[in-house]
Amino acid sequence: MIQVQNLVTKYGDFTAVDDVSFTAEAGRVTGFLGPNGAGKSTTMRVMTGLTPATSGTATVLGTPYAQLTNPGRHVGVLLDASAQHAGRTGREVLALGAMTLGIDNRRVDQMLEVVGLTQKESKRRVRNYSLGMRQRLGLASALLGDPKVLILDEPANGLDPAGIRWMRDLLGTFAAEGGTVLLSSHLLHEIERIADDIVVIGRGRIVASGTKEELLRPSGSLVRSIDDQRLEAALVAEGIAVSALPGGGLSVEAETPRVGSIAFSAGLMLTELRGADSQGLEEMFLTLTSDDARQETAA
Amino acid sequence: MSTTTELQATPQAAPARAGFHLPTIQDNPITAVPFSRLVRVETRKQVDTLAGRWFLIILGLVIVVAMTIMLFVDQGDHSYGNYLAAAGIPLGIFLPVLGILSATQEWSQRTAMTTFALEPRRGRVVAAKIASTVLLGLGAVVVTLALGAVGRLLGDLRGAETPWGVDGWMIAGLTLMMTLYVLQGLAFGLAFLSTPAAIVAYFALPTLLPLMSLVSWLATPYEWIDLTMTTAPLTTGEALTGEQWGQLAVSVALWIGVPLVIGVWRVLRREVK
Repeated sequence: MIQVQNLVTKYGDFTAVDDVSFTAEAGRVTGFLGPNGAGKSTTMRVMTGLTPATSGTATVLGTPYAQLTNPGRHVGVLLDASAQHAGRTGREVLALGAMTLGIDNRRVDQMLEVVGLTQKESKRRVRNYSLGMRQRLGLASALLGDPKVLILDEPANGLDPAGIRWMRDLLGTFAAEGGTVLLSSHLLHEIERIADDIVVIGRGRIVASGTKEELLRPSGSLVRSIDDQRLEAALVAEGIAVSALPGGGLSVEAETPRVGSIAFSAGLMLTELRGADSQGLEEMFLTLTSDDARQETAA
Repeated sequence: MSTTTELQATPQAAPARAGFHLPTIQDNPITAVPFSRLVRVETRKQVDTLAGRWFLIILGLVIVVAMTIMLFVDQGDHSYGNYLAAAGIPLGIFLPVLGILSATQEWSQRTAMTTFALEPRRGRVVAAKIASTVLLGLGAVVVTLALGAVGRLLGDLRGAETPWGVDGWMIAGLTLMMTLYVLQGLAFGLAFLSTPAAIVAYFALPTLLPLMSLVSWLATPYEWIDLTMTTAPLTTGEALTGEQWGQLAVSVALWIGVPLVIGVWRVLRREVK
């Protein structure tokens, strides 16, 4: 389990992480989403003790990371697959890890097999690895100590479709066996498929968090009536946000019973009233982070 | 493993995918990482990269060439001490580069992310680097002694008449000098945390410092701060005078102590990205 409480990280005047709190539960995959520069990687580095927090706490398995006994045996960390010495072989990278952790070298071969790197590939130097191979190596390195928690920053980056599927299965199995997975990604469709819980961060602040079902559940309703203008006025008078749809009808930020009762009180006949369409993760992401996005979207 | 209980505790857990299991580690309780293991890892990291390996191979070749030249000059008729110098000088000049790389590769190749994730107490990692660098220096002394002996034995075969002249002071001095040189490399690497900057500074220093001796009022301070000068008496085979020890101490404090302090401070505080 990972717990982050009121975490703040400042660089001079700039606040990279601003009062972030969330929990990644054991047995579940938690997706960590946010636009570039939103503070995802900084948060993950603070969690693993690589960046000091200005205030607030982050604990892994109930303990600050730096105070874990032999942390690699508890937590698998992959923050940047490219952060490996280009002149070492993949096998050597894992052998050094195994040596530090104090585990048998056979584990190196096991993990190579788990991540699908062949013996031949493992003897090549990391400089000759593709990004996908580096990700696999990084994941092997993270899994080396048989950890209970995985902290992965953009692990699907550079993987081919088969690799992405393989990783999904791997992380699913890991969580199903009781492990905690926290992964960040820009691949929203991947997060949508793999994550049980989602935390969205924008400009250093948490803008949404909850289970995937909660977050993706449609909110609001769509309504058409014989006189949309009067209905809009009636809804706005009740303090409800309304926007007119281009094809006619209104998109209303209230649940259907409320919209129905307001229309009834106003004496307006409805021609259509239904819950809003289920929004995809992409839409939710863009809506939640639109204030923070680097470029305005056409929509 | 308490997998089953954990599964019960989290009923919403995703269903296990059939046919795939992560191998677990059996019968290996989680214990703290002992310092000796960190030293072993750091020592291995100094020689397991492509650059590190080629560096050692080329250094070996340089020494072989130096010894061969020795054997052809004056029919190889030199004392053991001279052979030691022939092997030791290239080592003393170039081996500190491995010390520099030990510190800088963590940042230039960004392996610090892995290193400090596995051992968050960075002071221990730096201490392990110091220990492994000293071990490297001592290893170099052993190699020097062996190669010097091989050279001198070959000289004997060619009828060398100069006595071997094995001298305890000289071997002790050589050991101290080699250790100081590799430590200076590591200290420079830690202070700069950048391979090119550290290497340039390391090699420019003994080239530029002697310029001081040209200025009359700097000539005396120069004798106290040029490490090349202050370590030279170590290999003469004679005990150092009190003043020589003093000069050595001052130059060591300046070129090893100061950069080491700056370097440790930087590594402990620097954000790992």
